[in-house]
Amino acid sequence: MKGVAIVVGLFALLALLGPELAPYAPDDDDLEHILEGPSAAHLLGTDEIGRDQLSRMLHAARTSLSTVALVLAGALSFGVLVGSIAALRGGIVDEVLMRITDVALAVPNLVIALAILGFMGAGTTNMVFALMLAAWPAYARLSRTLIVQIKRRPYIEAVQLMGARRTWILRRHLVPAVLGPVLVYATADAGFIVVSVATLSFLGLGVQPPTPEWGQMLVSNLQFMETRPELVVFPGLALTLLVIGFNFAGERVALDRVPRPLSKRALARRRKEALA
Amino acid sequence: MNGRLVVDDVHVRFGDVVAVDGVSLDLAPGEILGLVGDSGCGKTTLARVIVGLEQPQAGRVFLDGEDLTALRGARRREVRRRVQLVFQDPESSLSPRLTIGQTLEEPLLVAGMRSRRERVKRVTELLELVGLPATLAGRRPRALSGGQRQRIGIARALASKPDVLVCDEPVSSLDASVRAQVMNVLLDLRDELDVSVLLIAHDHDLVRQASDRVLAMAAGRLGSPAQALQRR
Ligand SMILES: Nc1ncnc2c1ncn2[C@@H]1O[C@H](COP(=O)(O)OP(=O)(O)O)[C@@H](O)[C@H]1O
Ligand SMILES: [Mg+2]
Repeated sequence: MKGVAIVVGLFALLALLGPELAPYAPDDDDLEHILEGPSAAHLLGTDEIGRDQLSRMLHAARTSLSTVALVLAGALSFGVLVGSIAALRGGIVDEVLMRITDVALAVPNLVIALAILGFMGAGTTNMVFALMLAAWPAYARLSRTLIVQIKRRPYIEAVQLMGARRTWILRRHLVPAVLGPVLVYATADAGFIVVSVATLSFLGLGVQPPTPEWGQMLVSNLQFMETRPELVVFPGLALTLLVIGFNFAGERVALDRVPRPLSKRALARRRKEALA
Repeated sequence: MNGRLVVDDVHVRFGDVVAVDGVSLDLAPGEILGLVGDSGCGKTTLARVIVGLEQPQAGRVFLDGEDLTALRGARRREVRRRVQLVFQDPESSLSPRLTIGQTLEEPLLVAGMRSRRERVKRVTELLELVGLPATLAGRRPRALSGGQRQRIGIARALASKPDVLVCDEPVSSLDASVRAQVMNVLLDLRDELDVSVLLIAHDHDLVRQASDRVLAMAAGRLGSPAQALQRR
């Protein structure tokens, strides 16, 4: 869990402070200085209408990270809600909900998002909504499977015997138990959503210019690849680092969850207590 | 005195398997009734029907004249608290995520005990009742021995102030050395609290020592204890 906390913390810090650290406004153009290489005034150079590349990158951090966070938060809460209802209700409700998620899972998320955006029209809000709608089924499926597994455990049955309501059991036992694995999945999913946001913005369906976003910057600067490669390389690098960071964090959590053998000291303590 | 439990002609099938095939029994208030039988004969299934975790295909269970199988909603939750179960496996019957204190506090919270002070006091009492130190409240189940865990299982059942306690092979997963201790805890409780006990086991000697009366079960039905002992 520590690995994730660090990665998420660093990105959150970047999203929070990035725009504050930017030397210029992201849409501050200067037609006297277009497509200039790195200099003291513009550390990463300027783009085709003379906007400071570094400032745009730093502002884009907030856009990219906040859209990813919103998509994940929405998909996760809705997915876990649907999964819990399916697992607890069972029967026909479970059947219907899981058929819906099966169908949704069979179609690539980006295709779903594209279809929804085709219907709703382009824009940042619509993109976030479309990606949420595309991403929730995986969370529903995962939490449903986990809850079905643990809801029959004796310790949950003991709580039923206390006369607890279903919502009590859900809140105190089931949701906290599925949250770990669901968050692991979410960290891995985050990398994918970063790429989706970039792709959709690149297609002109997501974040709209002049608001800077790494994917969209990368694509619109592609035409200057020959003369000013840094205009393409840096947004690409930022995206790559973000995706790798999330994947690395997801893997760490997954590894942390593999049980380790007891240390000699723990074994000795347990033996002593068993005899006491 | 409360705690008369009547089981009337209960039948449970799982697909083709007949787990309980027409069992009737009568547990008097304050009585310890033993129930012995080989593994797979339907003891656990019967216990689960009695506490309401399993719905029988036919038959009814009465607590002090009220039909438990017919209850629904709030009344069901209220009455079901009065019949508690001590599970066979103390490991899986305690949440690995909660401390012992939190586990014992939960039935108090569900029952609506608002005051934190009162709850802490009651948790300490419960631990004392099963012969464990109050310092255990901060530990998690993994730090406990099997015998300690089973005592927590008993304490949790008692936290709901039951009239009937169903114990499903409460010591069969424990080392021989701690079995007698845990059995003694159970027997002392019967004397201290007004609770009727249905004591399930396949260890005949242990049950016979502890019980006022013993029933034998085989292939989903009750027989006389003599038959069961002869077959052994
Ligand atoms: N949930 C279940 N689904 C299918 N079969 C079950 C289930 N629970 C118990 N059984 C079967 O019912 C029979 C009685 O089991 P059980 O009540 O656990 O016996 P005991 O506790 O005496 O060992 C066994 O044949 C067992 O396989
Ligand atoms: Mg059994």
